[in-house]
This record gives sequence, structure tokens and C-alpha cells, in this order.
Amino acid sequence: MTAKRRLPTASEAAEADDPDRAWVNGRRRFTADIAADTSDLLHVAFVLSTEPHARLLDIDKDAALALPGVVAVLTGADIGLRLFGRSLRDYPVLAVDRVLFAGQRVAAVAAEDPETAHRAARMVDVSYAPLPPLYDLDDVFGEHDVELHPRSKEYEGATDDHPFGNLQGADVLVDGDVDAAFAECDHVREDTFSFDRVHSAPLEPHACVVDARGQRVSVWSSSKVPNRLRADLARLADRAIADIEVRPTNIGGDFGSKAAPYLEVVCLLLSEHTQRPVAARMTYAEMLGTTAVRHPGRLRLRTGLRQGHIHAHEAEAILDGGAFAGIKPRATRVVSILGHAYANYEVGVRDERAMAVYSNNPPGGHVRSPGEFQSVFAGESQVDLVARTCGEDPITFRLRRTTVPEVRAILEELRAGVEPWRGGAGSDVGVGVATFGCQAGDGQSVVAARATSSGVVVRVGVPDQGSGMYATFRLLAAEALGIPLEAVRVEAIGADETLTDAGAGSSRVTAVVGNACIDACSKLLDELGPPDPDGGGGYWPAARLERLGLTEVSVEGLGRHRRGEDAAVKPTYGGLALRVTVDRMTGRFTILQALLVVAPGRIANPVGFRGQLEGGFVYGLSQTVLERLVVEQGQVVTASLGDYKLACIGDVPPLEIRHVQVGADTGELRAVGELANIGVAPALANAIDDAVGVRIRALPITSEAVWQALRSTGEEG
Amino acid sequence: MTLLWRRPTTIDEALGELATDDAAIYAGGVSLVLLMNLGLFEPAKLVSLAAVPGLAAVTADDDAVGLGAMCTHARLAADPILRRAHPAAADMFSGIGNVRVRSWGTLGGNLAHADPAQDPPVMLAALRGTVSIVGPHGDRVIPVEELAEGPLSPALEPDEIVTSVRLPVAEERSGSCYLKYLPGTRDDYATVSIGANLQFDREGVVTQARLVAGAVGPTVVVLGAASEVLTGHPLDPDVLDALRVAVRDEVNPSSDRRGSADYKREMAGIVAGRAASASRPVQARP
Repeated sequence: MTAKRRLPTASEAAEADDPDRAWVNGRRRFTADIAADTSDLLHVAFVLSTEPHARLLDIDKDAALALPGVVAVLTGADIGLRLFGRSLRDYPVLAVDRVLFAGQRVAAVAAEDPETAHRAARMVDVSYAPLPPLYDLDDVFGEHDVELHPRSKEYEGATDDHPFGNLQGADVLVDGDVDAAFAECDHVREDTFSFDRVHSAPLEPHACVVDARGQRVSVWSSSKVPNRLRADLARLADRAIADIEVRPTNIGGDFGSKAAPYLEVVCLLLSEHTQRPVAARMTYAEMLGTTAVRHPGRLRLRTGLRQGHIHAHEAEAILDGGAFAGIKPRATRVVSILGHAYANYEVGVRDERAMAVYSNNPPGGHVRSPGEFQSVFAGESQVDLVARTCGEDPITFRLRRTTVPEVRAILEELRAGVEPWRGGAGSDVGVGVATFGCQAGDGQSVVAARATSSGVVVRVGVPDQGSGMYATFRLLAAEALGIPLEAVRVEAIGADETLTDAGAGSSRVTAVVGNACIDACSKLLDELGPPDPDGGGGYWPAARLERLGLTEVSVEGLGRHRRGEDAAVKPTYGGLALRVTVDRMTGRFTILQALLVVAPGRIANPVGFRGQLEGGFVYGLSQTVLERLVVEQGQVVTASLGDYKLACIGDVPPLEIRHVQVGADTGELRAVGELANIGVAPALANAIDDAVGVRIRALPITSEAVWQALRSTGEEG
Repeated sequence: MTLLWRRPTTIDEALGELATDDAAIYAGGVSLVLLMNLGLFEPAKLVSLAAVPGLAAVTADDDAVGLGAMCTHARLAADPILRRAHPAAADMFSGIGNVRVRSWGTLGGNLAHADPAQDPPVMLAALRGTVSIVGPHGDRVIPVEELAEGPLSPALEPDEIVTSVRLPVAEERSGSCYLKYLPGTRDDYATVSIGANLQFDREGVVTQARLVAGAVGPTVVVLGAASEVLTGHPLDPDVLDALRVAVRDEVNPSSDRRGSADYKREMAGIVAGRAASASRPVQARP
């Protein structure tokens, strides 16, 4: 007997087909799904270095090759030194004569199934001759003659400016004589803040499928930068770029991690070699242990007041960049850490310096707000300390010194919001605030739009990393054209020479690609003429095309942004207030309430906007109180999501979000992706100080750290 | 490499399946499959106990409550018999791991995993629970705290099966409490946990005390000396201070990402005091 199948209702069918809903109804397909549907596929597992610093003596692959099901084993000796990197190419696809961190890829095994590949990878016998390691900043700046990159001057992108051997790069932001300014100050305070290593921790581990049989190469990858991946593959695998097709793929979270070709080059070479399609997918241990981390390090801030004005500010950041600098895009080889502390306040003279150094730790890279997270923690923590020195309330102190109208409005809103929190507060309850900002990164995107009698298709190069950005593009296009949402389809094209795209990152997508969509729609209107006012809200271009005797109209739209005075995308500002209670016996703190206030500009997609703010808050909370990628003697010891804990929903306090509008709404799109996460750490540190009078200057902020601080205060007292 | 799956329908059949080398019992699979996925454990045969009758029952007689080894945590959290007899134990089961763990994980599997950071062995040992074990060489009954010899080392032969746990019924004027100290995320094992089971006289003086600590040693720690500190006294601040010091000396934690050894030692004392205070039955509270 067969049950009679019920036909889906119209709304069910629409929902099933709705591409935006696919993220939440389980229909979204990721790279691993592509692999599962590929026949004749080989699976790749990597052999990872067990040594943090060693010479590679020999790799014996006989035992692995003898295992039934193993098809090929590839080593650095087989493929030679192939270096990838953004501004500096220092990162080998496979190690050749040396390894610089435990976890570095030294060989790859292709087998008939993933289990066999991993088993065989464990059978590849690598002989190492250990070299003296540099594990932390004290090692790096201690007495030794270890040079981790002796041939660094030969790397592509290397500059002559190399004061010492283990320096990845330096950054400077100076606008006056800070010593003279300090000499004029009546109050000076200095604080050093430190921060541990955290991972971007997307839930989809990095994965790819590469089919290099024949002349064309097809690539599916979790990379968020398909155009760059295509160029990297052409260069690193010696193929003509025109032969490489990077196919559109959905990404299950990125947060900065998915921009380097960790897997794809080797898979391409193995596919060429075996003439079969090849797939790789990292385990969580591999992802946490081998892909880029947020730079740990320390940041010393010295700030002077003169007659109540912030007259002098000095910053010195020293960051552990790990074994390779290549993952970082900036020419300085330092993440963006300067200029964010005290950014929202009037400062007389600034003198800020940062450096990143090589060590035998996992390479540093970009994790959501790569340097802002650390520097806003330090800066907004010290603002509170300076306010206390002056005997001023922290919100009032900020209000008096900000030059940014949005920040003033945010602080007023925060002040009103926390007022009811103060009444009836217990003795160990405190309130902390922080202000912050976010600016879209540089980039340019071109999108193509085509209007036909049945609807408008917008083709974009940027992959959706899970933010729901395509829903935003749809909304923008529907609104710009005055047509129903259902008439717009957004299509991913993967990498393509016709459509420039800088990829998903730097909080750039909504503002840059969104503006490209708006630009394309305005060009469509140029061709079609304005919407029909009596069109009745339907898809009016159908009738218009018929009237014009056209079957379709195709245009391209451009969005671009460069930071600076004439930036196309203005900064977004935010403020966060937290109310906490602290248990003095245990140091355990509980966030009772959170209030996030933002000055957002135009909100293109209310659901996506709120998702970015709520998600950003939780992401920041998690990295403030929980996350810590523990590396001991160069070995990652928290290499699972059971040990590397992320916040769960039960850890999230009640969060209220308010908007403030300053001046007229000009309808401009701004960035919010990396806004909310950076305020949590300083607001929490400030709230804990307000509650129990101890100052935490290191991240993550744990209950034990608070207990330790309370205990040492008690001992001193 | 092949993995055999067996689903016996009687205890004897199950014991027969376990008689071969490299066989492992599959109860709920929560910890077992995790270890297998990590490559730390590679059995040749899994013997599911799901079809063996009588292993998933909760029973009660005049002296004790019996909890079948194949009961899931979720089942025990909701069980009316257990909730009436030992509400603190039912609460403990409702706070294990997360909803997925509670729905799949079983009491027997949890105890046989012998992880000192798990919740059930701590509370069940505090309640003076005993474990019934069957094996080819006979049946035996041991206290819950003796089921673990060390981390992940149960005092079980490979061909023995845990069938149930018996909890003596609560004495009059007694109370119990399980406190799990989670300073970081709620989705974690305890930094320190305490199971407390106290009996009081009519004046609120402790007549019998049993405190057990989790996550502060290679096995759960029965806090003998600390329990002695409470006996014969009301739970006043001086006694709780003495308890804190005694607990600190009795536990032996190691440092890990959930806290330093120092911190865990201090927290064990504080949490023990709080668990003892929360154990006071309503009629014994001043």
C-alpha cells in the first residue's frame, strides 16, 4: 500500500524554493555535499608536522603506499617549494626542508575513502631533527641566534625594511611629538593589556573538491575569496588562469578563516597526478590547529591628560604572528591594531607603534576584527581608568571628550538605558560601558543584472558565507526597482574574470556589493525608464520590455570603497553597556543585562542586520570569557570543540538593541559585521571593576582571573 | 576494518557475546562513539544492550530505589519514583550535558565510563548508591565510588555488565543536593562538583554527613574528613569555614582549561559549603 502523496501548498513550495530559507531549512548544499555527490572521488588527508621547529630529514611513504586503497602520497620534495601569501609569500604549500610549527602540512595522502587516507597519513614516517624553538614573545626577544626565516629577503613581497630577522612587519601611526606632549600633561597613566590566542572557529571546516582531469580544472571550495583562489591556484599549480573554474559554493561560516589555499593546491596537483577528482575536508582538530588564529600579544597604552583634555597618547603593540606572515593582507604584515584605542575621542598627539614577530606557533591571521578586538579592549578599559583618576563618571567622561556626533548620541542613549539598572543594585553589582566603531574594508565589486519578462537576475561573485547577504541583495534590488521580492533572483557565479570581486570580508559586503546592486538597478532603470506609477505593485518591467520591443536588458553595477577622507562608506558606531554581578567568594561573574546601541545608517535587511549585531555580540562574548586556543610548547592542546569552548545559547544574557539616528537619514549603507563583537571585552572589564573594584587587563576574562585579582587585592589590603 | 554489531535479547546471550576479544558494550554510545571517532578506542564488536529486557526500569521497595542501567538521563530526570524518593538525584540527571546527551546517554554507560568529571557518580555515591554487576563468574554489588579505579578505568572485567544502581531510601530529616560549579560555559563538565547528603536532628544539628566531590581527582572523592567536620554541629559559619579548609586538604585536582589546581581546590571547599547548606530539609532550617 502506498500512502497518497499530499501535494505541497503554494506557500510550502515557495518556501522550499526560496534560496534565502535554504540556510535554515537544511537545503543549503556545502562543499562536503558536492564531494558526496562526486563519483570516482579520491579523499585527501594531510600529514601534519608534530614538531614546532625542525629540519625535515626524510619522509618514508612506503608503508602508507602499501596500504590497500591508497593511491598516491605527495611530499614537499615531490612538488618543490611553492609559497603562498598575501602581501608576503612565505607560507609553503607543503614543507620542504624545515617545519616552523606543529601542524604544518608536510605531506598528503590520496585514498579511496577518508578513513583510509587518514590511516595512511598516520603511517607516513617523517624524520625530524629538532631545532631550538621560539614559543613566545619572551623567547623571541630573549638571547638566541634562532632565525626562523633566514631567506626572508627572497620572499615575494619582501621589503628592505628589516630591522631584525624574526620581524614579520611593523606599523606606525604618529602625528606629533608625543614626548613633548607628555611633558605638558598633568596626569599620565600607563597600562599594559594582554590577550590570548583565539580561533575564528566556523562550524563548517575548510573543504574543497578539485577536478583537474583534462584541460579544464573545476574547483568547489569553502574559500570566501573565489577570485583570489583562482589566481593562487594558477600560480601555485602552474596552470593557465583561464583553465581554472572556481564554482559557486556556499560557506558554513568564515569569520576570517577561509581565505588561504591550505587544501586546494595539493588537491589540484593530486587530481592532475591521479586523473581523478579529489576532495579534502579538515577535521576540527586540523582546522583549530593549522589555520590562522587571532594574534596574541600585549598592548601597552600610555595616556596623558592636560587640563582635562586627552593630550598625549602612546601605544606599543607586540604581537605573536606565528610561523608565517602570509595570511595577512596588509602591506605592514601587522593586523589593524593602531588608531582604534581612543578613536572616538579628541586626542592631542598620538604616537602608536605595532610589530608582529615570527614564532613557532600556529600562524596569526584574521579573526573577526583582527586587531580592533584587542585594541578596543585595551583602549576602552583605559578610558575608564583615566575617568576614575579624574573622578569622573565613565559615561560623562566619554561624552565630554568625544568629537563624533553619533558617539555622543550613543552615549546619551546608554546613559538613559543604564539609569534604571543602578536603582536597587546589590553591593557586588556593577555597570560598564564601551564605545567603538567599524569601517568597511577597501574593495571593489562588479555585479551583473539582467531584466527579462519573468524577473530580474543579479549575478554576484561574492560567496555567501552564511550571513544571508544574498537576501540583502534581493531586498536592495527589489526596492530599487520597485518590484516584488519574488521577482528577484541572486545568483552566485564563483570566480570569473568578467565580474571583479574582493570576496567576503572586512565588513565590506553589504556596503560595497550592496552599492553595486543599487548601481546596477539604477542602470536598469536608465534603460527601462521609471516604474509605472499605476503598475499595481506587480512586476512592471515585463510590460515595459514588451513596449520597448526588447527581450531583456543587461547591465553591470559597480560598488567600491577606500578608507580615508572621501570614503564612500562612512563608519558605523556602537556602544555597549553591561550590568554584571560578581560572586566575591568564587570570582564568578554573571552578565545580568546587555544594552547595545548603534548608529547604523540605512538598514537594508532588518533580519540580517539584527543577526549581525546579535551574532557579533555573542561572538565577542565567547571570545571575551571562554575561548582560548591553548598552545603549550608549540602544540595546540585544545584541538576539539569539546576543549575549545564556544558560547552556547544558555550563556547569552538578555540583550536589548537600540538604534540612534544622527542628522537626516541619507540612505547610505554602512558596515556592521565587525562592530558589536569588539565592545564586549572592555564593557565587561569595566563592569567588573565597577562591581568589585578589580581590574582585569588580560583576555579571556575568566572567573578564576577575577578571583585571583580579588584575592591579591585582599592580601594587599 | 569491520565492526560487528550484536543485539542480544537476554543477559546470558549478552555475556556470551562479550566473551570474545575486543568486544565492547554499547549502551547509549555517547562516550563510546566519541572515543572511537577520536581513534582512541577501536573495538571489533559492539554489543548493544537495548534489546535485553529489564535493564531500563525504575523500581522501588521499602529500602531502596532501583535504577536500571539502560535508563537514559532524560528518563531518570523525569521519573516520578526517583523524583519523589531523591529529588536532588533527579535534578542532577536533568542537568547533565545537553539535551542530546541526556536523550542518548545511559546511567550504566555513564558509570562504566569512569570519568570523575561526570555528574552521576558524584551524586549517587553521596546517596550511598550501590552498583549491581553481572558476569560469567557471578554477580556482585559494589559501592558506586568503587566502580572507578582511575580516569576511564572502571573496576569491571571486559565481560561484566552493570545492570542497575540501588539508592537507599532517604532517612527522616535528611536532605541532599548536587551542585555543579560551571564558571565558564553552561555546556561543559564541572570545574568542581559536590554531592551532599546530610541528616539533621530536630535542633538542626548534623547527625550524619556524606559529601562527595567530582572533577578534583582521578576518581570521585568521598570527603570523609570533611564530612566528619560537620557531624555533631549545626551548619553555622564557623563550621562551614572548617568544612572549607577540610575539603581543600582532601581533594587533589589537576590544572586544566577549567581551572588551576589551586582554584579548583578552593572552589571545592566553597561549593561543598554551599551544597551542605542547600541540603537542609525545610523542617531543619532555622
